[in-house]
Amino acid sequence: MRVKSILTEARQIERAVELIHLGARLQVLESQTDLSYERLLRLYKEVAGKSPSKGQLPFSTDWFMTWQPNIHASLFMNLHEYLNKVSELDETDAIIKAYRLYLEQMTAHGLEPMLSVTRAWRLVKFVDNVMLTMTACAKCGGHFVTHPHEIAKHFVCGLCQPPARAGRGKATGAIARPSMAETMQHNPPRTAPARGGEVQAIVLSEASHPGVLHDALESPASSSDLGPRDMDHAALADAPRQRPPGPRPSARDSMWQGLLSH
Amino acid sequence: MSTSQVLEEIREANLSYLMLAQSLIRQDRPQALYRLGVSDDTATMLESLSPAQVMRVASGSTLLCRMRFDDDVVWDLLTHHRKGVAGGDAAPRLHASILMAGRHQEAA
Repeated sequence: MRVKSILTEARQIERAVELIHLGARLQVLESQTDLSYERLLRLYKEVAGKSPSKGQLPFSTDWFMTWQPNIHASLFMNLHEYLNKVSELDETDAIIKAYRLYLEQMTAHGLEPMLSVTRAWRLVKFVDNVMLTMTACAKCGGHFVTHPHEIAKHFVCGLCQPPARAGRGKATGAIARPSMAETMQHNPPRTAPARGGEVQAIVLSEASHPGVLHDALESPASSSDLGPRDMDHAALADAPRQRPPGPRPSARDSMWQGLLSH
Repeated sequence: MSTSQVLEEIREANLSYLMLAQSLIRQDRPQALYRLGVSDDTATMLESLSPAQVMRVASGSTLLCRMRFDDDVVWDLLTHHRKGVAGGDAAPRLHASILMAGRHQEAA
């Protein structure tokens, strides 16, 4: 789309620069501004001093369901909603401002900001498209990011009822060890508390009780060969923001396309 | 503390609160609304106060700002340091932040 007004364009460039400073991927800029791809690319190189990273964006809603990311995501969404309720903000501005408040809180709590601005933008889009929603915890009343159609009456958040073994890691800047959170990738804490963690625990006791391991590994769809699995998690711990492992159904891709063109 | 001392302290607190609120609102209004927990109308009013008005408003016998949360849940999360709870210190504080950020109905 051609930008007509120079003032609008200036405002959009300003926003794009802010987003680049916060570490947004190029796709975010493309979606949130009307500037052309070439101009955004040039802008990105000028501001960030490097070419934008290539490849697919994180697209999974599952990431937001794991214990630690869910807390970060919920905090961001609450801030975002707060800003949206009290003032009339442009969509992009709301994301930028809420993200800044989120970063501020992370610094105040001495935590590593797990939620990148790209993820935050994704999250807002997911909520807009009702692929994710906010549900009030039956215990504390706080609003948390959940899958849609969560049974509100019985929903208890991950902070009121932390999954077993969550947060046992002592890594700096994390509520829990990232590898641990990643282990729970496909086992949302509330429904199946930390099955990944259990597997690890059982592995430890495998020496004394052979056979337990086999039972434990039957439920999650994984290979019984533990070596590569563990290495997988180690790799994930180094790069926690990468695309989560697992199959990529084509339905997701089309949904993703739909979101982008939104 | 004598009465005059109390009044003096209240005036000081009110004055710094109003001045901070004004500078926050002028700097970044939406973020200030979150930080202060006030409504848009209140923010407009605060912003428009002249220094003389600020002085006059500040010198009363009551404090102008008050507790933002008065329920046990948030209070408990912020004050109790529970060992052995997942995530140690950060988790309850984050929990409190989430709960407080969810209360926009008071401000709006």
